[in-house]
Amino acid sequence: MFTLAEAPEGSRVVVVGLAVGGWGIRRRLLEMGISPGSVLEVVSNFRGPVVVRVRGVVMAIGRGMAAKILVRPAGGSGG
Amino acid sequence: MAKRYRVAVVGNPNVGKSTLFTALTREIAHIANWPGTTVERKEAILRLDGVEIVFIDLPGIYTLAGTSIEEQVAREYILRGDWDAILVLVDSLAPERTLYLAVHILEVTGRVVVALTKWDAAHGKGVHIHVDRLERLLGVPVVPVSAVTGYGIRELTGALVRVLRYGRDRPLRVNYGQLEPALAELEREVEELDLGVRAPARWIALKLLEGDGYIRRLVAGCGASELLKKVDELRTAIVKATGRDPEELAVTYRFNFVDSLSREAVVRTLVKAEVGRLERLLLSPLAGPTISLMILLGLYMAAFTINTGFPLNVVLSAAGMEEAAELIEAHTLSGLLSSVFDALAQLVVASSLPPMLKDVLANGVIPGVGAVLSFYPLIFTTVFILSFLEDSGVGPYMAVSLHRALQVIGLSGRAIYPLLIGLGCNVPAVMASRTSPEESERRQLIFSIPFVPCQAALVVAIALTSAYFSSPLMRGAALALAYAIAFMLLSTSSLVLRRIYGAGRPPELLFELPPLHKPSLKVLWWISWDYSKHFLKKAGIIIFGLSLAIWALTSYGPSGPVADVQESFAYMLGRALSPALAPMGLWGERAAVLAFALLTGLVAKEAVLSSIAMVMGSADPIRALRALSLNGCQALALAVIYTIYLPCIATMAEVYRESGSVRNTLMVSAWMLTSAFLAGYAVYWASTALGL
Repeated sequence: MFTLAEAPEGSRVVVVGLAVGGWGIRRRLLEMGISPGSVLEVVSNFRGPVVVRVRGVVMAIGRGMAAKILVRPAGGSGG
Repeated sequence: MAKRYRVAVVGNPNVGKSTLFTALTREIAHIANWPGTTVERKEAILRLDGVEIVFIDLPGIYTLAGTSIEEQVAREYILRGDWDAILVLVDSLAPERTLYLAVHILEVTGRVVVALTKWDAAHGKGVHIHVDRLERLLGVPVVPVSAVTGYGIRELTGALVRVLRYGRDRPLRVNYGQLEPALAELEREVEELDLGVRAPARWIALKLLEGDGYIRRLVAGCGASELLKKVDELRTAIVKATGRDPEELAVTYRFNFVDSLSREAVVRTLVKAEVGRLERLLLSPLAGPTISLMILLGLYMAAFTINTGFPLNVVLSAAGMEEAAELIEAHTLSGLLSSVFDALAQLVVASSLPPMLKDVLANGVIPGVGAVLSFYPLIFTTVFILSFLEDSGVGPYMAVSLHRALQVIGLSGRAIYPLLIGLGCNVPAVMASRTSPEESERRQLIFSIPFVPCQAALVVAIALTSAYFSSPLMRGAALALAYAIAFMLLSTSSLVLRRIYGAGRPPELLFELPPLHKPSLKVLWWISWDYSKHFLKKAGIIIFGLSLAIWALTSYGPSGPVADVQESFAYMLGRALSPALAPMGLWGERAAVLAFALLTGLVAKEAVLSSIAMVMGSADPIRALRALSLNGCQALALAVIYTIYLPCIATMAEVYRESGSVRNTLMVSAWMLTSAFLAGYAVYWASTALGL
């Protein structure tokens, strides 16, 4: 298990948990489709925000926030 | 008389809401791709046989539970119940995610029509939605539409009329699994409360379980503290039993429901479209920021060249092509407009009108109208370019690629947008601070944007530097210095404000990146027209009124009409304020005139020029400035002061409106005034010491 901020570009990961403090931010993540179990495709991950594809939509997530999203690698076929 | 109904229009950002709103109502609506720009509430009326529908455009939102201004506005409007039906927009290109909000709203009421937007593009992208099945699953009319082709618009209004006439409030029921026992328990107690909101008890109970602060406050307002205690107990019990937060569970169950809808009603025949090559390029570590900056600079240079000839004339003059530079300047929009108004004023002077009227027209009215109109094309092009960035989707990508650069001054990539608008005009820029989802960043932006030198400040600085520096390079350097100081002060203010409002932590971004697409020229035209109309109405009246007021102030004194400007009210006011310029070696009449210009510039910065021109009795502001015979150092220092010293009254009003604090608005203004004069003195002393 690692954080989204550490997920390599081009990889597919499954969200395990959100260690985000603050009701508003956590809630927003959840409702934008980033909840435990959702599959994220890492589009770009350089020093800036992490860009992922989730539920058919591309989203930019701030690095600090991404560092609090726990993920694990998704199966090759993408669970 | 036709029966009048109210329909609230709700949808995710980027769902195509503004476009559909326009297609439905034939009304000019603001259209953008930038998350959260449809903050203003728009209404439009559609008259059909026997019914009148008032559409209320709610802000683009992802949820009814959020904390941003947009989400609060939408939630409060829906809960207040001041509507007869809700039109929910679902993106037919991304139904798996956009159905979420629809489900959320359907849990509040059954008086809903769901519109599947961008239907024209759905099949091409391999998305097939089984409309009848979705209708059956949701229990409300589902209508595929395309704002571009007009497909389905009639069916949509038909479905709305049916729901308005016969629709029932019965909400959709989503199965919340492990939360159900607690829900049932709370629901019974909520039913006994009178919360004064239009939402079923089950929904309120659900929000309480989710820990929604807004609903909690509502319930607390009813004095139901026992209920809240029970909510806390149930929440703790759920965490203990499931190991997960109730809100996480609720969202997961809701998404499970959405997934089941997608499984039954959505078929994708193509593998989900890849992220485009261009989009990837914009997101890449080196090319992204480089391209973003190049696009921004290129667009701005184009805008300036059309309007004032700015970078091109400097380059040409520097290359020794003075004639070409002058030719370009004369043929820019500002150049052409000012020659038209000069000619008009001369026509009036040569006419046989009474002298008094001639004076009013040639010195008051015509220059006033000219001042207003010379800004119009600049505002229009600036807005046009910004709208292009928004509508094409390039803007959000820029926000991502420039995020790191802006973090340095304690802002997120989202801030590039209000900051850029600020270069055009501070008033819409302060308003655009709402694009930030974070309260702290919004406050930061509201109070530091006034430091961004707007077009009007630029025009004043250009006039000053053109009047006193013959070399275009020197002019450019002087302008660059004024801008550099302004941005230094902006960064300092922003960082200090970050400490105050954001505990020093950098703001984070979280938003959607829509696929890039070719913007519609029609739409860009609408937006630019809307914005510049706003400018003409709001700023135009101020500028024109002020021009007339200055004319009156300079033509009248305590003893009535005056022949000599030194006996006028204007001069008296200026003299009273002039000691502030003494540290720059400016005394007497010159200081009084300059101080008076500062005063009038408060109402609108561009008025600095017209007031100097009027007091000095010259139609040409550059000649009027030269008549003050300043030295280079003084001109340089004044350019800095005029660029920064205070936000214009319209900006101050907007800062107050957004922040809701008179005290903070005044504090920001005082800080700007102090820092501007200190910077001005420093520039004067430093440049004098350097022997410039």
